[in-house]
Amino acid sequence: MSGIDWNDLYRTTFPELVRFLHRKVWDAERARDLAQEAFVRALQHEPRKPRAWLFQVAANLARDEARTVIRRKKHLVLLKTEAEVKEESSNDASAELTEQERWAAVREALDSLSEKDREALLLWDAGQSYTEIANQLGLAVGAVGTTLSRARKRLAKAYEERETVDVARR
Amino acid sequence: MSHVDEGALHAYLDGALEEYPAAEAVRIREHLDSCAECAERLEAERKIRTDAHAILGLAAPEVELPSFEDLRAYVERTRPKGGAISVHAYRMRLAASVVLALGTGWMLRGGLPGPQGPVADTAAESGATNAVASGARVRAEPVAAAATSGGGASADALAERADLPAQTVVTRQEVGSARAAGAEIRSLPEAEMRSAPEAEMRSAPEAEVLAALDATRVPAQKQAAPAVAAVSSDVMASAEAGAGVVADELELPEDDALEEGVPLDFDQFVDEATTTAAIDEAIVTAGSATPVPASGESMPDSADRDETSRSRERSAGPPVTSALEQNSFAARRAVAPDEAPSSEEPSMAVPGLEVVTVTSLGEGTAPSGTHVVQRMEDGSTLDIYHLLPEVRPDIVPAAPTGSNEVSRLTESGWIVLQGQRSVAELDELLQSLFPEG
Repeated sequence: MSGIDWNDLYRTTFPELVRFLHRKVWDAERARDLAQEAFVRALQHEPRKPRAWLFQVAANLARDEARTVIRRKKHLVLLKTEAEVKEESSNDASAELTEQERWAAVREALDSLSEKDREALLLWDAGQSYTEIANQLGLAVGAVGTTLSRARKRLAKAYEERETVDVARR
Repeated sequence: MSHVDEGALHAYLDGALEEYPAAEAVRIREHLDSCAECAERLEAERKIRTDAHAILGLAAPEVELPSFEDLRAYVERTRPKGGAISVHAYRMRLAASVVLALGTGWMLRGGLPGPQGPVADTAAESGATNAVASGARVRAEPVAAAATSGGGASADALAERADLPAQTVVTRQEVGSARAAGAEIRSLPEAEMRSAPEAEMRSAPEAEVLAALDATRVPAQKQAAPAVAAVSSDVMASAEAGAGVVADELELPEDDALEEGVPLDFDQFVDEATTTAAIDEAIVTAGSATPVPASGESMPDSADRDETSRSRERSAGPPVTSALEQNSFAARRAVAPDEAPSSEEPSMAVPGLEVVTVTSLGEGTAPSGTHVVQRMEDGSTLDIYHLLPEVRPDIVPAAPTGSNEVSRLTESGWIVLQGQRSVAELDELLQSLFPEG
């Protein structure tokens, strides 16, 4: 086994990985499943740079709809969750709605970005360094700042525009 | 002095200037200290950065951390039997198999007999039957071809081809090298056949493989270098015909992969036998059906070649593309039905596009992957680089002007696509390498 402290890596990286994945699949449970899957693979392969490796694999997992095992598992989870939700949801329906609306707004704003800008932004927000982002996206380190600058501007603008529309509707 | 651009401002805000070249980082910091205009811009960018971060924070689910111990236990339970194998050890074992194959194959070819107690005996005792089997195919390829149609290679047939006493061959088969004739290998279930080389290598401890290697030392030392090069071509040819060995499994040993204490001649033998040129010759024969003989070494006669060729045709899957259906097993791997790629093992080529060339990448004893060139509908070319694990994509030459590039890290290494298409279109082509995706 390499000298990597996997326990520590797991503790510090798993939440970031879930958040990163959640903004790609927009399903907290599935994001968690995929993050676990990424860690399982990392433990099996023991890559030399596990953190960057995890995010790359996570991105592939999120994109790869062929992960039928995960999907099947997800379907089971969904069935279970739906059954549970029916019982529990009456109490906090309004809170759930608010959260869903909030997520939808962020998702819409993120969707307005180019794939590369979005990826850079999500990777940065998940704690990746410029060098790691550059390696993952095939950019020069010096170009990461420019990409993030553009992505942040577009995100803020898109979100603001949506808010404006929502306010007008009300 | 020029102002600081927005990218550098964000790098400054993100604390990422340390990742910039030192001189550039110093310049940016000094400029921000002295330029009021840039300082003002910096504050504007800081607000944008804060807003974006807050927006993303709205979509951050609460994360419950599952037990790491459970995860670890799951991984241990599901870890493949025999445990993970390092690339280094894998290469070493593969090299051992190839070298043993060469030695044994050379003996079967009718060369000098080995020491009393055939190599096969030693190898079989050590569990390295895969290597022996591969080795036997070196010379027994016509026999293997006959076995394909006849159902099995007899000891007599082997003996006849190898000019060895029949009893000797029977003995070898008794110790487990019968699979060398090809018939039994082909009769294995497809899944087992695909996994057989690796599984068998994993079952042989390194020390035992090395012991088997030692057994080949005597014939190896007597082997002339030019002949070895030709034999290695034969090995590759026979591997194509029946072994199911895929191109990227033919990684060569690193210089330090060979045990110390092995005689110089043996090292030379290994170097010659596993030279990239010889292997490339076999791999990159997309346009040429037969391996090129080394000077001074006789190739199989024309009848043998024809039989060999037919044998290859029989062992190959249905053709899909013109170039792939020829003799590169690297290419065949992409189209053979029994090698249907999974989401974890991508195709070598985009389905439906003509394959122009398939070339192995890397030099000397450091192969780095495979380069596939395909022709798109408009006549332009699509370059696909399949890099081996641990090989970074920056070895791929930059996309030419007018071309774009997409890349993806898979479990088997980076895949890089370059072509005169938009990034989105290239990404679609990349996705098509993963048929389940």
